[in-house]
Parts: sequence; structure tokens; C-alpha cells
Amino acid sequence: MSAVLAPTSMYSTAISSMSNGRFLRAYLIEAKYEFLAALRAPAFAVPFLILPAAVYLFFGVLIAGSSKDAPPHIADFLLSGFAVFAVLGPALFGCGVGLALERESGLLRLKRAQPAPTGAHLVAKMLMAMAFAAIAAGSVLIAAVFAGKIGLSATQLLIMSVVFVAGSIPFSAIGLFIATHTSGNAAPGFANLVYFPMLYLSGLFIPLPKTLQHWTVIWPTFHLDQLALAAAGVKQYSFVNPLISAAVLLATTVVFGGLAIRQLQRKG
Amino acid sequence: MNQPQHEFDLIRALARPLGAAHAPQTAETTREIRACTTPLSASTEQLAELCGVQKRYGKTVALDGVDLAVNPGEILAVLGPNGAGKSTAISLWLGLAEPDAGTARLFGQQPSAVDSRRKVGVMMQDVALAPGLRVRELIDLTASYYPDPLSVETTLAVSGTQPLAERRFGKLSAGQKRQAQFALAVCGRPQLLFLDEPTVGLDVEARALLWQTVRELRVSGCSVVLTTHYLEEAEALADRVAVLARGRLIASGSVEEVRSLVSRKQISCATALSSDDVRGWPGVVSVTQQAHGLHITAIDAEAVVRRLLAADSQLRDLEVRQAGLAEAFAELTKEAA
Repeated sequence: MSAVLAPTSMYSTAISSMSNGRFLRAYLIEAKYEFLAALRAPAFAVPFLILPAAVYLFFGVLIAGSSKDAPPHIADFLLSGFAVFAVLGPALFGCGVGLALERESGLLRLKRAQPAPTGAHLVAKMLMAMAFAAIAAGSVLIAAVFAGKIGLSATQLLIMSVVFVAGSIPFSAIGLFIATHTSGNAAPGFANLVYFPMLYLSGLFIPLPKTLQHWTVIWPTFHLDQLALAAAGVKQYSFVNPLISAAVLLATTVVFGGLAIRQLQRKG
Repeated sequence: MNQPQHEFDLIRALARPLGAAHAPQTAETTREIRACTTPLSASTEQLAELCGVQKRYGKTVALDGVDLAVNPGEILAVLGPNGAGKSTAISLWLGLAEPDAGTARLFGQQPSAVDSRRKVGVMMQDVALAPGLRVRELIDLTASYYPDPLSVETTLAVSGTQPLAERRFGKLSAGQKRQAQFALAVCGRPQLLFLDEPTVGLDVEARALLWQTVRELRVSGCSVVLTTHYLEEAEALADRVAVLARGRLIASGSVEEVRSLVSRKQISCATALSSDDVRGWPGVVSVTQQAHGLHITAIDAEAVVRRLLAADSQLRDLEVRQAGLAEAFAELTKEAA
């Protein structure tokens, strides 16, 4: 060990400025290890990466898709709904529960004491959620291509994929809001409280009673679904102006993300 | 958790009640060796400083008018019982909290300035790192925060964590986790290293390695702030000791200076005299009857020893020693109560 420490300059030449290259590298490395850590947590990775495609194959293909009375483009609609399902979980639980536990375990405090670039950890969480969304929603899309009787071209599927990956950002913002306003113990409860209504009351894949259909517009999941369908040109299932959907998703990101950042700045 | 044979837990040493009120500054000598008397304008010489700092958490006073500075090239041990304000002091130095009054500075800047923290390495208590990441990966991640870090391989070598390099953090023992955290603290080539209870849970070998690295860091020009409950650690490593009690700095100086603040000595001997015989003698502070003799705490040890020898010609196994740091702190905190 002495030989390793011998050069006296090793510790005495600390410089305090970061080049832009090193700054960007810090963000990328943070994102890389956030993704690796999530991938190595089976309780998180297995359900959120595998379950959406499996559920889609069972409900979207085997049950709904086999009906002879199925309306046209229902397969495209179901594909979009299950892809939104794939996007929602990693964003809400990865950012929400994950960050809440890290706050409680002192990790965020340590990162503040270390000179971690401001916001790198939050950006890494969101990028991790986007990567998980890409894999999970991509799995649903691949399952749909091979088994789903969909009528979408490769270009339409590509456009939908981009929307789904970007669409994880507002749900990550909601997750960050939960993480910064609740304890690690309470975060899973609050995340579930948001997750299930957004999933089942936004008309993604379960027919809703008429009274509930009017309320689907309040859920961001409905708007992501609408935006993806509109972007892919599936007009039969487009119910609102895609600009309105985009505005709702943007507002969700700004409001919840802003509140989360404010809370982190105030209380850590 | 393996503990060294002679390790003495400060918490036990300070277990005596300190009184309900704020600890007043009673010992004149204690005031004389206060460390931070430097005005802020002359602060460039000091790496980190707290000047007149007050910090409250609700009704609890965590720090009450503390002046404390870290000088270049020194190892400063911050000692005190739980709740003394050690961790609060470190939080203020690192910009994790802001003082209610007074000033905290790190490299002459506000501690919240990221530029100043890029010269600092940190090892905190009770931090759970990502359990799925390997030690090598955690070092790579932490090193990315610094402008000119050590390589991962060098960091592993310096911290003695090569055997842990491929192990996931969540699979490490408590002591191994502390070793990994030490590696993260040194990977950025810090000029100032904050180590909060660094050797808790380490076995004897790992602790010796950490001590050796800390000494070599100082030789290399790195200053170290160390909080510890292990007096042996402070005596082995520190150039200067700062004692906090109830949010006040009650002593600061070299190990010898702090020890000399309490002039009392410990006398042990095998004697036929009873504790009642000795208790009233001039210079005797306290007497404990032991199986084969007496244990005496005395202000004027020489006079007491002379009288002991005169009173019992058969007296044997006489031992007189200066109070260790444990006794010194116990006395200081008792006086401050």
C-alpha cells in the first residue's frame, strides 16, 4: 500500500473545476449504474420487464384478439394500452419507491456531500425509467408484431415506441413527487394508490361503464395512450386532440417534477 | 464485529449524567486552548471552519457558539458522546445543513458551493449504497464526480479493497461496507477527508490498514477530520483533539494538552488499608475498593503516594499513571455540566 501512496502529489493536487466532458460523463455514468442497479434487483426488473408482454399476450392476444366480433383496429388499441401499462410501472415505482428508499437510507445526503452534479441522480432515475419503458413496451410491440394481428406498419410502430419512451417522463415526475413527499415505508402505498386508478380507470384495455368513461380524461395514462394512437394514425380510437394530450403530459411533468425538485432543495 | 483488546468506548466513559442545563464553559484552561479564534477574513489558511456557530433542531440545541477550524495537513479528531454535536458539525462543514447563527466555511467558501466539495472526501455513517452494484462500480461512479480522481485500481489498492472489488455492496458484511465507503471517500484525491466513525465494525487488520492509509494521506498533504468513539483511534492518529459536549466545544488541543487539562492521576496498589482510611486524605478525589487493594483518583498523586507508603509498609504493586483520554473526557464533560 505504501508504494501505491508514495507520490506525495497524489492527494495534494485536487482541482475543483470540472470540464464539460467530465460533467457529461458524470451524468452518463450515474445513468448507467442506475440502470444496472435496477436490472440487478429481481423484485423490480422481473415484473416490470416481463409482465407487460406476458399480460398482453394473454389478455390482448389470446382472449380479446381471438374474438370474431372484435371491432377493427382493436388489436392496435390494445397494443397501445398494454404498452402504456409497460411504461407506467418502472417510472412510478422506480423513481417513486426507489428514490424514497434512497432518501431514507441517507444515499441522497451522501451524494450531496460528495460533489455529485446537481440533478444527476434524478436525471439518472428518469433515464433508467425510460430504458425500462423501452424494453418493456418494446417487448409488447414485438409480441404484437408476431402474435397480435395488428394493422400497423414498421414506421407507425417506431413512432409509437418513441412516444412511449418519452411518455415515461411525466410518470417519473409523479414518482419523484411521491418519493420526495413520503417516507420510504409509505411510498409503495402511495405509488399503488396512483398506479391502479391510472391503469384501470383510464380505459386503456378494460371497457368502462359510461359514467367512468367521461372521467378518463383526468388520467395522464389516457393522454399518453391517445398521443401514441394519434401519432401512429389510429384515428378510430383517437378521442381527444393530440395537442391537448401532449399539453396534459407536459403540464404533469412540469408540476410534479417542479414540486419534487422544490421539496428536494428544501428538505433533501 | 472484532474490537481491539484495549479499545475503550467513549460512550461508556461519558456515561455519567451531564446535568440538565447547557454545559457552561467553566474550566479556564479549556477556554485557553480553544482552536478557532481566527477571524473569517484570515480564513484562507484554514480548510474548514465553524465560527460562532449555533444550530438548533426544534428545541434541541445541537451546537451552541462553536468555533472550530481544520488546519492544513492535520488530523483532527472530534470526540464527544452521542448528541454532543459531532455529526451536526460535519453536516455544517459539508453544507448539508445551515447554521442558525455564525459562519461555516469550506476552503474559504460557502460549504454549499460544489467547487469546495470537489476537494473533499466523505465517509458517513448509516448510508446504504446501491446493493446491486459491485465495489468496483461504486468507486467508478463516485470517482466520476471529481475532476481528477484516482483510477479505480489505485483506489482499490489504496483502500485495501481489492478482495472486495467484484463483490456486490449488498452482500458485504458491515465491516466490509465501511471499507468500501472508505474507498469511495479517498477516490477523488481529497485535500480534506471527513471520516465519521470510520472503523466501526472493522476487524483489527482492516482497522490497522485504514489507520495506515490515513497516516499516509496526511503525509501526502491531505487533512483529515475524524469522529470516533474509540479513544485509541484518536490517540493513535490525531494531531489535535476537539471535545464536544452538549453542543459546546469544551476542549481543543493536542492529545497531551487535552489530557493535561485534567491533572488527576490514577493510583492503584495492593494494600491492607481500606477505602475508608484513605477517602478523607488531602488530594484524594475518589477511592474504589478492589479485590486486592485500592484504586485512587488523586489531584496531588505524589503526596498521596508518600502517605500511602508511610501508612502501609507492606504496600505493593503500586502503579501511578496519568489519566487517559477517557478519564480526561469524563472529567471535562463533568466539569462542563
